[in-house]
Amino acid sequence: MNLESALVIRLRENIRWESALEVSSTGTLQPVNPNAPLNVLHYQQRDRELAFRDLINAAAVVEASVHVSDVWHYKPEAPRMEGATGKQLPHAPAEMGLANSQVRHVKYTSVPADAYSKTDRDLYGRDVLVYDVLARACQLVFQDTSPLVAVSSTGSVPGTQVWSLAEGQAVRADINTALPLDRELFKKPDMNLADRDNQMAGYVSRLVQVIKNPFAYAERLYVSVTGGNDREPEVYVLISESDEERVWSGDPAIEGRNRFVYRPQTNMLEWLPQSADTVHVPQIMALVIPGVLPGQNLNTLAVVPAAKDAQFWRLKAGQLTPAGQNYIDVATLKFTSTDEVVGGITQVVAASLTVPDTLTIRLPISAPLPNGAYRISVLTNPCSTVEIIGAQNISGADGDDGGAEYFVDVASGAILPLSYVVYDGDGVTYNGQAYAPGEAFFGVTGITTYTAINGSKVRQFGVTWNMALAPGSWTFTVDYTNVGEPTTGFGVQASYAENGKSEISLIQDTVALPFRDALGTPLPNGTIVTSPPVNIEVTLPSAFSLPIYWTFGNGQLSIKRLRFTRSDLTETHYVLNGTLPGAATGAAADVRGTANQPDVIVFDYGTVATTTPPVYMTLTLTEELGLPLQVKQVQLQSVGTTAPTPLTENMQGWRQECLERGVRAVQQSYHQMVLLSNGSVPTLNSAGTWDNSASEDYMSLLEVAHPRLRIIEQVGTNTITDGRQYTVRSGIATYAGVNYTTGQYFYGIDTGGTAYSGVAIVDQVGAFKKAAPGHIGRPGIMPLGLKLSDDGVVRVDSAGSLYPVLVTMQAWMIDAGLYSAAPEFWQPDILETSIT
Amino acid sequence: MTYVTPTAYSKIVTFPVALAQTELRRGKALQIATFSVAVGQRLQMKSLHLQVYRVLNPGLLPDLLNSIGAVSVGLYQASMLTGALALISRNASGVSSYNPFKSCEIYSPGEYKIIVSNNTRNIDYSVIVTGAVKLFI
Repeated sequence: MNLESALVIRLRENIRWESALEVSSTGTLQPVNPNAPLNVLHYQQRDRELAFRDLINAAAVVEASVHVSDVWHYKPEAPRMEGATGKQLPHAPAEMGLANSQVRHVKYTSVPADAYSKTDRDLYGRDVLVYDVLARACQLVFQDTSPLVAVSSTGSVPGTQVWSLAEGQAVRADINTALPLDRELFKKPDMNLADRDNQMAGYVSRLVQVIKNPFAYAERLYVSVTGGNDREPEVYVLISESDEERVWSGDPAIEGRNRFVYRPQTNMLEWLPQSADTVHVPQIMALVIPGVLPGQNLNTLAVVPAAKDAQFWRLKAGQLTPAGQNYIDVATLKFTSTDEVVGGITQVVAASLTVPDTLTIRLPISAPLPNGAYRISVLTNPCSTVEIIGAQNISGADGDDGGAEYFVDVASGAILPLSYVVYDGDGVTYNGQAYAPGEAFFGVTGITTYTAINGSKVRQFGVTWNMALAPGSWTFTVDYTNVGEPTTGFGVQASYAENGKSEISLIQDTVALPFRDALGTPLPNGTIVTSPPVNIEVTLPSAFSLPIYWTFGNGQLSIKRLRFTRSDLTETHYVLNGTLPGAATGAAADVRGTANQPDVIVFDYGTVATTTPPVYMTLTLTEELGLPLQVKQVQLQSVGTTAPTPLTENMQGWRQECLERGVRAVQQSYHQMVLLSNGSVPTLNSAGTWDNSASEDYMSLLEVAHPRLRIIEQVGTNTITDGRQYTVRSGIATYAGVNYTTGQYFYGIDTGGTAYSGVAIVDQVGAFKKAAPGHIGRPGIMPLGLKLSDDGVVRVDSAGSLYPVLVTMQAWMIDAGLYSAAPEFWQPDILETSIT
Repeated sequence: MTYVTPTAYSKIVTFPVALAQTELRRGKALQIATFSVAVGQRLQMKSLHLQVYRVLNPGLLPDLLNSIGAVSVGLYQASMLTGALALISRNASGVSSYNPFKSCEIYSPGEYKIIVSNNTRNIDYSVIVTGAVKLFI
């Protein structure tokens, strides 16, 4: 119902207050007792209350008009009001007469009671009719965001397209006790009320036309695509208007594409998609119309456009492809101090090449690599320190936290081919020989038992490590602790022997390595103590053995770390060669590295044949001898040349524009997060330093107000978070009772819990991904106050802020675990000289 | 900033990057510019051009030292030539330009360098480099 016949009513700009009197919140008018003596003031009050109801209708028109303007950026006509009223029309069904817009005015033959029993009730019904037409239109279109609520859902106020003028006339008249008691006394005020109703009907009829068909009026549309090639809701802005058509354009504003066209004469709506090779068949105008693909829908949303996040801008950026070389991430090995890397020296933080040597690196690839061009990027760090865990020994000693725990009280039957020493009692007999307390012996394979005399015991004597260092002056320290009974120190001897040379003592047991505090009290077990530094002069770039003997002392010695440091070099020249299976030739790298400064080395392979997993890459260092080179991360990318999106000349700045908008959205979220935390942002880093853990905490902090921030691959089955978006990469995942197949998206919801089930790989959706070596030079996001200090430690500047800024990724940022922008934001470095 | 006021304009310093025609011998690298970024400043680069004017000993196949092209110029924070923050390269005579629609943004304090390098073992080139870098103080 839409009161179409009221469209012809000529509107006045404002609705006058006149003598309107506020009506009861229940909608009940001043009652009249027909059996009591006539009191015209009661009749007057009823008319004044009916006049007030007209003002409420005016307020409803204004409210709906404002909402239409907010949603569609079109300002419908609305009356000017002389005062404020509520917008919700109270309704008392018993007060309502006819609801078909006619009015039974009083006649010369009427009695005063007819004025309230017929005329007032009809006027009351007209108010409700006008209000409900508008409210129902709002509720139908705006639904949950409707600014008005209908007083009757169905039935009691039937719809109509016909509006009776009901002898409406703008007559300023009130029922007055000084006037003669005749028909005019009652009829004139009622004609005035009918006229006010006519005005409201005129406004409502026009407003409903806009709500029913926004395409004829809207300056802005908010449209989403669902059911295939989904696109999130986005704004289309009116760019041209004529009698034949109205055209809205979205971003990117490519000529002739990304547009909606409405043709008023045929009432047809057509979509011109971004892709020039798809055609949309024009549809009859509606808020939901079929799209191009089967099952696809174009949804014009009757809501105020929402603020967009970085993920939205990521999708927008991806709609245009620039010409030039592109790189696609294939696989990344993020931690090299694992069994995936063989060769070299495995340090605590990464695999490393300390001397000319070869690393064999297994890339985490499960599917065959198609033939093509590839790039391997390696995050390296020329380091002045080599640090290995104690468990990285050749004697089989291990323990908690990577330590090498010397066996104590080794039982007979447990002797291995290791060195042992006898203590307590009167000695032992092993393999036919007697050993007194303090004497050492070496276990023989297959002979595991010994005979103890008078309580003698056997413990491990020595653990040996292999190491290779470049020739030069090094200092050597050991981190150790106690994991047995309390002790104040350990007698330790350490030496090293280069190939073909005699053993050189490093640590003598003249004085025990202390494990006590200043008062001489044994330290608690697990306390890490570092030995005093000793010098090693390495002369050969080959492996040497380094045995450490525990000669005396109670407790149980555990060697946690061995550390070798040189301070005479600040940079080194490296010559490396990298091979990839399927590549015709290897790739070379000739670079100069600076101590403790992360950097990236790249290897390009122009032609690689199809390769099936496992895929091993080798990295060989041939020159020179100097600072050890840590190999911290390895990434494989495929290299290609993209064809640009057709007919997008002059749109080269699109991706940068989307990137900057996305970062601004994150910056706004940061401000929101600060407000939510009442200004007390948590400290993410200890002692001013910054590491991978701080980077993850930082992103979690930003996610408070920006859920779709970062991409997390293969989330755990019990990690779904309310408000974040997820996608099924493979398989079928069930969440909150709904099955999602490959490629589908879903949001975490509070009522859905944290778990999903099914055989599936689910990724968290976002605009930024963990930076990898191949992302150097790509855009990323970083706290403003972060910097790389001269000592190679990443810190937050003392006056620094956590405000997120758009930066170009540097090697140390990748090493610190920061996040780079998703590939949809990437652009080639070199401007193509021809654009097709 | 929304408006380029005199105050705002005075806080933008543009540094030219210019290397006149230079013979760049095989395996050599030249640092042609250095910029210091202090805390609170921002360095932005959008303009960098490499012209390989002439191959001085033509007729040879380049024996490459690295995977960054025969001749390259880039913006660097660290020392390895393969770790450029922005890199353009050429394998033959001609001009390559950095994509001006892609902005290289630097907020971290430190020293940043423009280095042009000949990444071959056997060919000499004559090169010209031009460009500009903005420092927002």
